[in-house]
Amino acid sequence: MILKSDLYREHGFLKGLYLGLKLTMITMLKNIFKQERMTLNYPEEKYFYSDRFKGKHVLTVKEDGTLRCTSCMLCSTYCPAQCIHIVAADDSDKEVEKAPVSFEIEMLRCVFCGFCEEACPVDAIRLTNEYEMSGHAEQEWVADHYELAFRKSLNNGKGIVSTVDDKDRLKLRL
Amino acid sequence: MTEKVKFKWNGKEIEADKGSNLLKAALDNGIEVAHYCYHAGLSVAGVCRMCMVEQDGVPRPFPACNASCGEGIVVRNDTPKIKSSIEATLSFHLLNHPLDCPVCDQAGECGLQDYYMKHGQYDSQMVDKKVHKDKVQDIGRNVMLDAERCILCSRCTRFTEEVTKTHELGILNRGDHAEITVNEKLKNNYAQNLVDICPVGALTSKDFRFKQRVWFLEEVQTTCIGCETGCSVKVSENKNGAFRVKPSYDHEVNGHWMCDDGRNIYKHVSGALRLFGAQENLNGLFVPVDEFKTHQLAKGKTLKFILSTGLTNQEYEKFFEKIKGKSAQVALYVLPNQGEDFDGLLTRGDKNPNLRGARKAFEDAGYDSSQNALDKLLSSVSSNDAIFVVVPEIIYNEDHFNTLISKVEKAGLKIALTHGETLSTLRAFDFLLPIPTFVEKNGDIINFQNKKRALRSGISYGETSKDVSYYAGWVNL
Repeated sequence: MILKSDLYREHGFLKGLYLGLKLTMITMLKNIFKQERMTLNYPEEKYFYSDRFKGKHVLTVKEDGTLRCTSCMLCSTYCPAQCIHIVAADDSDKEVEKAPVSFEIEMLRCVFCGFCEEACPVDAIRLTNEYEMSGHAEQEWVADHYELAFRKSLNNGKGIVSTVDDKDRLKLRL
Repeated sequence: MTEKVKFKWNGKEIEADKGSNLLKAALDNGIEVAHYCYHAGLSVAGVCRMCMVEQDGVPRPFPACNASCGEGIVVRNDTPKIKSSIEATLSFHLLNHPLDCPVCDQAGECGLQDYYMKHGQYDSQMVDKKVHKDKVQDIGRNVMLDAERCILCSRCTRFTEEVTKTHELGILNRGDHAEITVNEKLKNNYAQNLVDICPVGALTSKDFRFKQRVWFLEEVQTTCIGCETGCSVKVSENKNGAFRVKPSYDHEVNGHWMCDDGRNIYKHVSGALRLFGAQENLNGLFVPVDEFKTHQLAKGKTLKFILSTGLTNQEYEKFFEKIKGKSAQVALYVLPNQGEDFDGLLTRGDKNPNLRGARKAFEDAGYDSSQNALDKLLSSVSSNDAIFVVVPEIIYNEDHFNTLISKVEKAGLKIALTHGETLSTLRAFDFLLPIPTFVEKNGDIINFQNKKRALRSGISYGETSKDVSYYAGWVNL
């Protein structure tokens, strides 16, 4: 098998062996003396993924700090893993009309496809570049809306403000 | 016998009664025609202008709902002229529509959504401000009004004028400020039909409000068990439970409508009190128990059954087959009349869904279904008896049923065959054993006209494999 590779076919067995080992030795020596490594000393060093990475979900909030979600259920309709469970209720504000009382994502079921983000008509759900989601087996792996919207990593517990606020929405309605 | 005529709609030959409604003839023959204001159960208004057609020899398009079938006419609604007409009409309908589909309960079964996807222009030409009207108005009888979403098809006002004749709704103001208004609150017992006939999300049900999106629901075609009328209904349900009841067309019984009382018949099906297996009464607290224990306790006792009128013909038949030739006593508990005998439309005072079927089954099996037989059975109850009471699914008059329960107290073993722990007085029983509800069994019931109507099963929410006849099998111990 190995004799069929391009290196041997081009240079013959002995020269091919020499060229191959030369590359191996150079890389080994480089690694010994120059310390050029591809791995990280996790968790002391952390890799930073771009904002397009599909990691842990976040529910955005309006400027007044309430959830942006209107519980239209489009995300849970599209979700291929069927891991989004929303309970809707009346909102006291007539302009808002409908708001979630409970928004839960089963994190172990989620396949992080990002369809929920695409389905959302009001920018209420986003996938962030948070990728550290290790935990224990006995832990409940259902993230409720307090965790999804107001966890510590999001603006120090204040939540991320959505790009579509109700004021803008009403303005859009002309 | 009315005269039949033949005519052509988009090249398809249609046969219909002479002079009958042209749009209805097309819809009955499976042709899709966009329409909002036309409803087969109401008069013709011709205000939505969506069902426009062209006829050979007629210079201008006209609405099909206001035309009649004539011999040999050639009608088309797939020409470019009609298409552009519908497109323009639709963009007028949508001019002031708030487009709050994400929060609207009608989304998924909305006429505006459906026709916009089919005929829409996809670009709004509106430059001026939209006219805003009052949202989230509770207009009574579990109906919510959103005036903004309304397209003024006037189906609802015609319903209150023609069907219920209560005249609560009207259209006020002119032009784009016209809106549906309620003079006081809705007060008729058929108000939730307004929710069904509203082609958009202007009238929605308060009971169903925000519970589920309609695309998550499946519809089961069955029969209402609220009273003896036996309206043909559809129960919308999914694995989380049953969520609403809607009428389906049955021209012999209910036509297009049903009453508001009938809209509540789904509530016990998937409630928190639903029974998932046998339960034993431990000092007023029901705890799950193996059904075998009940079986053992019933051994050697005289079994007495009090059946309800809510079972299907097939269940009665199987029940009497099981106890044939054995020494079991059977009586029938008939629900008392509630309210007036007949309200002129659909609701009847007799609340027994299958009284006729029950009486016939008792007669066929040689048992007495009269009140005397029930009294005789109750007066002879002793501590050597095991009494099985089938709890009716829907009890309007609880006191009447509670007196029955108080009379069986002397029995040695008191067992309720029920779908759930619905009444507090069920604590008088020693055991609760599960039976299926009306949307979990197949069978026939006989309505007030002595006509058979079918119950169809959908998803099960409790223990449903055992019905009354299963427990009747315990007699031969």
